[in-house]
Amino acid sequence: MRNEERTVFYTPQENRERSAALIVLDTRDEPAVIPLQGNMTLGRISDKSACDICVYSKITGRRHGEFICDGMAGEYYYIDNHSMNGTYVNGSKLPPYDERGSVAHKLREGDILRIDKSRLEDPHPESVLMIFTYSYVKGSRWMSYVVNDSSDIRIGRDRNNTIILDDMMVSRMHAVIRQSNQQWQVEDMQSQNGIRVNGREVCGCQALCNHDVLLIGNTLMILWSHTILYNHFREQEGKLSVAIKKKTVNFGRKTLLKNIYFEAESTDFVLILGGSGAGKTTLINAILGEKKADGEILLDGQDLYKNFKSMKTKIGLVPQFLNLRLSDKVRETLMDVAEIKLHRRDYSKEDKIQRVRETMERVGVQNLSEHLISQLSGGQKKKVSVAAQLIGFQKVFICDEPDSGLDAASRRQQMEILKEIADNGKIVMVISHEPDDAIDRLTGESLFTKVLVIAKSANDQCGHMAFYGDVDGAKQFFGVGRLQDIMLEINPAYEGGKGRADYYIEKYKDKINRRGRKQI
Amino acid sequence: MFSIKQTTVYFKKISRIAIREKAWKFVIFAVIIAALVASIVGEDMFTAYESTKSGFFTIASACIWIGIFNSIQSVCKEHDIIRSEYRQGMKLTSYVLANVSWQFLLCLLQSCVVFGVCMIFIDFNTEGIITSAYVEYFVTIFLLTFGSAVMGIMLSSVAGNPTAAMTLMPFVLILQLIMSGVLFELSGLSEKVAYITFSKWGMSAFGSIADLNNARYPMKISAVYPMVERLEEEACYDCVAGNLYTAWGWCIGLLLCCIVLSVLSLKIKNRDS
Repeated sequence: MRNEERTVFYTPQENRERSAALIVLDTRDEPAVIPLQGNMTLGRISDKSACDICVYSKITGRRHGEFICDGMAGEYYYIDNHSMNGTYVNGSKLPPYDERGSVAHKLREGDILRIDKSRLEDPHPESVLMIFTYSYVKGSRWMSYVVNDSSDIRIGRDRNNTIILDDMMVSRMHAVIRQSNQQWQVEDMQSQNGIRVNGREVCGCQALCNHDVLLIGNTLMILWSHTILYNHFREQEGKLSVAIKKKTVNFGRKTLLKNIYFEAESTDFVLILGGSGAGKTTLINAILGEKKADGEILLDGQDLYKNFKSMKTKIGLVPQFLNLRLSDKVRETLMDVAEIKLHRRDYSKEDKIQRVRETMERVGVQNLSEHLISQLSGGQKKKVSVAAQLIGFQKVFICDEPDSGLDAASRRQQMEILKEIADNGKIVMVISHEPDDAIDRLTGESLFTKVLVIAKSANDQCGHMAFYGDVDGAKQFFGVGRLQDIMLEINPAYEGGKGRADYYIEKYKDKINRRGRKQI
Repeated sequence: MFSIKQTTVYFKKISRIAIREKAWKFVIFAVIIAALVASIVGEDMFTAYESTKSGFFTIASACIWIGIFNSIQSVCKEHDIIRSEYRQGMKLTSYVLANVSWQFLLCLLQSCVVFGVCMIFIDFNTEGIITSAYVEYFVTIFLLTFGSAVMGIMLSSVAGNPTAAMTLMPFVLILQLIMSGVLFELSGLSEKVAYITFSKWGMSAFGSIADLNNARYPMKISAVYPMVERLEEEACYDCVAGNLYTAWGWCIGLLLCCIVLSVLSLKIKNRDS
């Protein structure tokens, strides 16, 4: 088997315990939250069978389906065991499981499973609704609102709403649920983060049926008979999963990147290292969703490529070459960004001014607010560029050489600002060629929490993952004392390196495979 | 797709930056060009058919040049910024409309000075087709300048960078001059292509307002080409309201097409691939 065809295991993280859970609604009054632990069977409660997940529903089979856990990747799959009524996933009926195992459905964040009769818009009284999630907040309480046929139900953060949601992802006046011509419908009131109904984004108005599931910010709402059940169920923290099988150009003739699998969580400050042409920029473009790769980028379980329009604002880029209008003032630049990013409905003029002021203070450009961009130094322009990204709601910041062209002191200061952003709950990924300057002033330790090394293989001339882990682990893995010496190890001889990229790519694959076998 | 709020934000930004980058230079250029053109062609206009037609052709060409020059670099120099801001939630339609709105104001000002300067040197007829000829000449000059400015925005949206845009500009200008139907007689495909040029409709409007087909303009036969003579009247210069409305309508239609093409071009450039 050729090297490039070898299976590479999904990068296991040291503390990567994704607690999957199933929110189950059946004939009982309260939703049940069932943590998924390994393989579990699903069936109706009965004396004759003992399933791991029992539901109170006559239309559910005794052994209706199974949740299969892929322990290596921490992923869950669902299979329907030739049940009489079948299982619907996100509105489509699953074909029953056959022995070849070709119909197991990979479960994703927010997937909605239903056991029902064929007309989903007219649910059976004993139908079962299950919502799969990786991010259920333990102990969070379910609330209910009994629907009155006549009046509108206003949903938002503002105190005047019928259902008040204390969630910063929710706009002040986010949505209205109303009855029109005997039909319930939801209207998005031009909210900042939109509404999803049964996993699909709502554009304007959408008709609702009983048992529909709405996601508003981090709050899940379920239309259950004449009641709206809701729960602020998701963690605010961000989680980025990158799984790129390959990235090709020229109609698939040239491969630039292959087998890049890693995860980053909020507060991670990730250094991306790689020689010229290794594929760093290609990786950034793939993560941004601008040049899609063969694979998936999940942010909080949602696929960026499938939801690019709504999710593109969640990942921000501070480019290497600055994209600022030179004849604009710093304050004007940031104020305009605030006007575009922050909805008028949610933020008053004063709120926006306050946000711009805070952001300028955070990156240290408050004294330059009345300066034209053209009057700033390179380092100051980069700070403004970072500030422009900070004003919005990005969960991930990707910075392409934010320290290039700066002196040592400015480089360190720039990295400290980025580290502070990460510490405030964001994921910050940085390409840097001077990573050893990013050290804590007190402890002398690296500011980075993770290191991702991309190396260009001499065999296939494309970028592979040569390491992903913490800083000390990286130094140990490459046998170097400084991070920048990693480049010496992996760069080809004609670029002044030792040309050992392939050795480290293989070494890393072996490390991952060994770790995988241990877990088995 | 479109947000009034964003259009306002970008309009303020574009106008603010344009003023800081000395946009008044464009008005000065317009004054200089208009003075040069009007002083040269003004004396002979409204004396003979050929000289009047040539005079209007020169004025139309100057308007097109002024318009394209205003905006040819407006979008292409910002492609990287647009890409970045599009990720942050910029609506491309709003951005294009903000640029168009700024050009509207600039072209209005330029049209005023161009027409003002022309009036100094050219003794225009006063009786128009639907209203005063002065108003009709001004509207035509404005539509030509503004339409060309919007065409400049479109070219700038299509071009990848300022160099490409400046390379593209002479070709478009030459096409406009050729397709006006003044330099050469158009037939077949070229006649059809001429329908999508501002120069053809600008000339049609000018010719109609000036009533070029009127027998009061005597033919001036060139000594070099004694056989050249005006064989028949050109229908596009008939002094009828239909001609004027058609010419203005086409200018407005082309202008709107340019706006749509600009937005589409930017959408294609910034789509996820």
